[in-house]
Amino acid sequence: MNEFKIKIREQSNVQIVDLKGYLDAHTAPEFEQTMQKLINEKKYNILVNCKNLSYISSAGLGVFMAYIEEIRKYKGDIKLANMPPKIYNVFDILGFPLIYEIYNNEEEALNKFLKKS
Amino acid sequence: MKRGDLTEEKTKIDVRSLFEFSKIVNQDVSIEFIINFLILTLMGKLVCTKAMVFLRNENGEFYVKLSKGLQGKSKKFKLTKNYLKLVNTSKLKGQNGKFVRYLKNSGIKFLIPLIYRDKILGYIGFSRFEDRKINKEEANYLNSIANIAASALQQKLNRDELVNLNRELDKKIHQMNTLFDLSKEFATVLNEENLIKLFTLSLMGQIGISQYGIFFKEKGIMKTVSSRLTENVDCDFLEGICNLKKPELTTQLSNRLIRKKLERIGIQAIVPMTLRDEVRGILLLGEKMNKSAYSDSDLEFLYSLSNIAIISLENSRLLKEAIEKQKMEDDLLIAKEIQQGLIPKLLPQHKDLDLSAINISSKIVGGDYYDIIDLDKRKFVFAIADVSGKGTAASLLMASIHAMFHTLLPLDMPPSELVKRMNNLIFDNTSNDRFITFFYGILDVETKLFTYVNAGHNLPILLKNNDKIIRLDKGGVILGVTKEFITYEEGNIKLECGDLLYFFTDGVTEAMNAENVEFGEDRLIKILRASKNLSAKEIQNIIVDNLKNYCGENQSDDITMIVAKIL
Repeated sequence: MNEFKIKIREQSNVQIVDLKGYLDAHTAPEFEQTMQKLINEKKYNILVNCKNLSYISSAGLGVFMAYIEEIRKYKGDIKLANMPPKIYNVFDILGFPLIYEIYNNEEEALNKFLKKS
Repeated sequence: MKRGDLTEEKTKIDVRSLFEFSKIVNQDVSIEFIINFLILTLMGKLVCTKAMVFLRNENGEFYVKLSKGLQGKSKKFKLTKNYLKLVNTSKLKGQNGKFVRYLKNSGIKFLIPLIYRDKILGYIGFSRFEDRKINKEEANYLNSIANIAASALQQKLNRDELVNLNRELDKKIHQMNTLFDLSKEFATVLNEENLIKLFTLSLMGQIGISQYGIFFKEKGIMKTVSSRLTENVDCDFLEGICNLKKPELTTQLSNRLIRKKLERIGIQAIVPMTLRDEVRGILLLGEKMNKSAYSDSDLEFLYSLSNIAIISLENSRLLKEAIEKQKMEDDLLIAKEIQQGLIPKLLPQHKDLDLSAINISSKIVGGDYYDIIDLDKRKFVFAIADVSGKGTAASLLMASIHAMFHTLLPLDMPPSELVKRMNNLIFDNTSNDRFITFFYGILDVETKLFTYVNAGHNLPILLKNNDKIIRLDKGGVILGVTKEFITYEEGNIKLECGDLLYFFTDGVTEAMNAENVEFGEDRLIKILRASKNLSAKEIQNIIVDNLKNYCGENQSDDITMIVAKIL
């Protein structure tokens, strides 16, 4: 089984969320809890590193949608980085690149956050 | 240079130019690049001041893809006649009036088709510096470059179409995966809250929305289940769109009032959630975050997703109901155990008495009560009561009667006083619509004197040893009706050996057969007379069997009886 795991690191006031494994209907609630926790702690700069993400379903994408408006209301953002082509393809066909900033690597995304602040 | 050389030189330049053009447009470039390059090449080569390219869209209309040296709004044109070769627009008349007028107004003098294998992909329109004419070489060059451009365009169109098809296919596959993923997950999640969570997450993720409202019909009334809409939606109003058979865009709704209202709160699509041809819920969806419109494919997906969800939700509800019902039944079984403890498990024994008693509840718990108590080996108490109604409520009152009776009995007061006190207690402590019929008596086995009070209970039957029937009717009104001026009369009757006392509740005499005819007292007395020489237990069994035969499986009330024979 490709177990789903979430790890959170902090760098320069940005929460870096490492996703690993299958983010599907089964595991989406876990990811949702993580996001809710970050928001409760008023941490609105979130960088999701998808390097080790092997699958994302609509329910997984739904978690991004569920929080983006609130996060942006507080002048934060969810930015994504290190997306494997297979994962990017899913984001792309559902039109997510128009909604989210997606970067090739973590540094680029981090710099974007830093520039803004 | 001679004129011939000049022509030859020019031809060479033309050929080289065409070759260059062909090389570039056949590389991996976009349609926009080809058109731009085509216009620039033409403008340079033929000294054009204005140039534009029309392309044909999927509806067969021609629209301006790119223009240079021109201003003004672009329109779409449906052409009734095609132009298969280079034409001078000033010579056009009759057909395609709008198109021709547009060209003339834009100052476009020439029009040449972009043809690939007899299919017109578009047109190039242009006009030359100082209104120059086109000579033969130039016409050849134009035809050639138009052909090369058309061929390159067709290639790119094919490629783009393939890319689009692939994307559509990818999207469909993803949709199928989502549906598959969810039906799998839904099958294992039985908690309604989690189901809705999964449903909404998938919805937001697949369509790319953050605004939605889910409404379900519960007992015929629409209720908000989950909503991220900026405004509350009046659920009554939703009833008006419950007749939808399939998902609709708000703009397509025929009811203007509903359309306006939904548009005002930013709803773009409505999806009915259907179960067995009945709309059980409504899904309202806001604008997509990437601002694109809802496609047919989106609506199709939403409809499938909603239908999977509603089935799972229904299952979860049924399961919840079943669990609750089971839990209630478990509770009732415990109550039954407690209630069974309130009636005697073993009857008192005395050499001069032959006793038997039974209580059969129509529900798990009931409102009938009986008791036989040995006070001091000489005095024996017989009690029977029937609480109005049946089931749980009646059983609670029955328990109270038991408690009151057992508290008051040791106080050794006259039976009439005891019953009066019970009446007052019940009147003070229960609602007005609850009544209890109650009978109790004390038998002194030495003197064989039976003293009793009957508070509105079915008259117990005394079958004398000489076959005469006496009914025990002394007493007063049923318990719990009023407290004022109530007194109870005591009855005293001397019993003899061979007498039979039969106490019962109305479940016995009012038991109905399939034709709704009551069992009745006459039938009961006849059985008593016929079986009076048998033991108390046997008499009781005969009556129970008769009742069962009489009303079959549909016992509608609690049945209680005491048989007491004086030996």
